[in-house]
Amino acid sequence: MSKEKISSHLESSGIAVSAIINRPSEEGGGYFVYVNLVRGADGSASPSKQKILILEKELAERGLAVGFILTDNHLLDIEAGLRATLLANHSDMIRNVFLSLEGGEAKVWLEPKADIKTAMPKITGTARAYLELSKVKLQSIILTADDFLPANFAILSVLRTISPASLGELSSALVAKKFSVPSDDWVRRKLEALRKKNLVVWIKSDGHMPHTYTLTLKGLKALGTKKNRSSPDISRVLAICHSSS
Amino acid sequence: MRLVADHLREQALARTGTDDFDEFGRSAFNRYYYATFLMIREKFYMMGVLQVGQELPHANVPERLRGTLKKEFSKARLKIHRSGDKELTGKIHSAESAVEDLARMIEEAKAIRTLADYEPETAIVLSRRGFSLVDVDIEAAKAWPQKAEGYLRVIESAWRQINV
Repeated sequence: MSKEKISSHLESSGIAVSAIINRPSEEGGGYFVYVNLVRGADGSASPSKQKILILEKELAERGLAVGFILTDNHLLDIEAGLRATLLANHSDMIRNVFLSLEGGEAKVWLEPKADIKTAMPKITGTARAYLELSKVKLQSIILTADDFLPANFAILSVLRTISPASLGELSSALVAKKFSVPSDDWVRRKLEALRKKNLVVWIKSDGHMPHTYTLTLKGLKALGTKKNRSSPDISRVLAICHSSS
Repeated sequence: MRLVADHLREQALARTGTDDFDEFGRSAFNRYYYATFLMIREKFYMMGVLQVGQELPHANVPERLRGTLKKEFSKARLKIHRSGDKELTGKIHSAESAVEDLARMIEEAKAIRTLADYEPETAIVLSRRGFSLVDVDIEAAKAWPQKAEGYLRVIESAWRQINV
């Protein structure tokens, strides 16, 4: 009976329902309503997000708890076309492409085959031109592959735990954290850039010991702290205990 | 699991016009969902979002993504933005997008799998690309694990940088 009520309310609001099923009780009960989105000539999706919220509220006022599942076949078409276009033009660079669409704007997710940075302006241009044909605005392109090089934040965080540390010690600590470290020289250049930003200082050693690096007060403040079991102070104490045992 | 799903999809397509078409078709949707779910659970174990062996109820996946992960990323992004690391700030922003898109996708996938398993009166029908269930094409379901793989790579990449 409730399913008929939902169906008739939605149909009177101009919504074509694909299916209505009971939502499992462990997920709060009520109903799932499946609606296929329809795209207008300007690329906008119907029913809109706002319309869905209004309908949910109207049905809730009648004692009908409903969750909408919106399906979008149009997305599949645009995605397939974009994938074919980008692979045809940049097959040496791209392994796979997929798309997420919200409010007429697209995020393109690219799985690159190789270093793609220099080709990005061209790829972005191709993607934008293709999407414009479907009245979709390109919001961003996100690469799904990663080289796992440590970012500055990660370098500073690891250095905070083990400082003062030599270049070799820092490189080893980063590798132990499963980061890719191209060479000690790569780490040295990163540290040099951080030193120029006054986040790190270089400590000249006595005798034959290697020079070491440590964080400045500005560096420590930039990292911030945590007052729980993942506190960096606790990690540091544990690292000191570990190295002296 | 993806292999099984692909096999079921092919079997359904080879049985169009027979009584078996519907059963193989809905099972293919089910397996594509499970392949995606298991992939996410495995990554949660690797990232320490879940203790190894800890149960993950299906309904909790979007909540874990939006609750635990997105909140952590959002907190870290503000902190890292203040430290001036623009590259990592951008990476975290991408991870936040990936979390939201993955949550939305798994919600849809779970709803379709529920329909496939518990509502046999909603039939599998032939479509332009093969077959579909309530307008969700089997090609879209086939893409769930592929997309999840991409989203999870972006998420893990940022997660590792902020959890050192």
